[in-house]
Amino acid sequence: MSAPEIWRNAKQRYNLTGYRCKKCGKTFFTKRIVCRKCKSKDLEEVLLPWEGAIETYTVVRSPIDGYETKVPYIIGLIKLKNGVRILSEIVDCEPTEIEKTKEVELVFRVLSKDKEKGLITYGFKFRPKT
Amino acid sequence: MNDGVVISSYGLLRVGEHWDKSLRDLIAEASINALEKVEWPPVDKVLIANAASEVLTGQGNISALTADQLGLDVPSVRIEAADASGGLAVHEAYLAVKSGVYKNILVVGAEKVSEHVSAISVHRSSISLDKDYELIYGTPVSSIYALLMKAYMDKFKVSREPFGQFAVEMHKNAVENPYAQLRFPIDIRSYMESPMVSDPLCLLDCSPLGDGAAALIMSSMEYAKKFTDKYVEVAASSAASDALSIMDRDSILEFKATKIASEKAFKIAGLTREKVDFLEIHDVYTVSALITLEDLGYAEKGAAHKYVMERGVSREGELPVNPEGGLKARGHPIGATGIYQIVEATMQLMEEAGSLQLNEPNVSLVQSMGGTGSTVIVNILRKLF
Repeated sequence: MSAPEIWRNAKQRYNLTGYRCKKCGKTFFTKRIVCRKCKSKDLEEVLLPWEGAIETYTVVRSPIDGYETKVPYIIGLIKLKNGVRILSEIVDCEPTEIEKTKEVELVFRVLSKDKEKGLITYGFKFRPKT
Repeated sequence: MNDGVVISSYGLLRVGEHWDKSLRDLIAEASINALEKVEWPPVDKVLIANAASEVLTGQGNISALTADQLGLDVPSVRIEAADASGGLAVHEAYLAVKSGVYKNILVVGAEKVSEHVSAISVHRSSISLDKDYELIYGTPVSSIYALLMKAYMDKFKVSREPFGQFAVEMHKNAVENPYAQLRFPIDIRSYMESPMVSDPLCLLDCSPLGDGAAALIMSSMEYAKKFTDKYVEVAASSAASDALSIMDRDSILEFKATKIASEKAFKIAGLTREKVDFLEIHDVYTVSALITLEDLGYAEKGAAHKYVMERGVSREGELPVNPEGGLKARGHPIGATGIYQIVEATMQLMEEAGSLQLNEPNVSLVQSMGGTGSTVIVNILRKLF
């Protein structure tokens, strides 16, 4: 991860901001300049809800490079309270407990450390609702 | 505009670990193989399908490398759409010949993945995912398909068995395929006992990455007649796109691009589903195969598991699926995979598939998928001779 990249994405990753189309009302988490649905360019940045429910999840046992020490870790597809779907790691929860976990909330964590440059990327993850 | 687009020759290498061959060797061998079969007719364009040569081998500019290796000075274009690169290259060749501008195109797919240990290659090929929103959490492609598999199993109350059964059938087909990477049978028990990669997806749900290269000569029918009397028609070629990430899909239980591309392809070919004699589908993970059977309209939504268990997908069945073993057992040389699918369908239709030969098939539907469904190409091939 490069410094400009961390800086560019900080707002989304720190605050969970998304993009709402003022014309059709569709909200996206992924960065958009034009609405995927109605093609309007009239999008506004909005704060997304920090709570949601796990729609589907997996326990990663065969990781990508750099994540070997974290195995096993949980990846979930979460439906936020407003219906927007986001992907996140699920933390503070054992793989054996995850089947019971449905309601989750946002938590601020380290996402990765760049091996060569030493830069740390911070951002949101989700954990079972306390 | 040209009337008919045909496949007039093919070439391929066994998928696997070719320690002795570089990317350039793979490209050259498969291409020469296809060209020699028809005594090197002049080609007027080259398309090279490759997903990730930059990160897997360090070599860029492979459109030039390809033309150079064959001593050609015609236009050469690299096509990249992750795992769908090969299918998309065939689509682009179809359009180029159909337009009448080109008459005889060499389409080659190649991928060199064994320069690194498998974990590194798996990681590097995960660039097909969304880097900002998926990879940031350390998600290999397997984990995204695991999310889909889990959602499918939960929604339709399905066990792992139908997924395992699909894998068993693919391995059974590959045993006699001289070009396959995994030429050994498995049974449902070994599937159930294979280690979890990303729950509920196990090792035997995954297709193996492998080095590979395959090539086609795609020609106008008129031009092909000058050098061969045996060719297969590309009756339709259709492509569609969907959101890069599963986050932005309307439904995670279908691949919308497969639906769009296949409906269009049936219309262009003037054929119904029932006219298709065998399928070649993108079983990168067993779950993608099951969902694809539904998207193509062969199984009802949520019923592909019943289709696999009851109707079956074997070579002996009503509608064979991946008679050469599919990505699951023939192997998955990422950007070349789509070319392998078309080569294998062509071999069947030309009745040159050896011991894998189906009983006089006339029509094949070939579906290639990139990423986790972000690009889909559906090509329909028809016997002409």
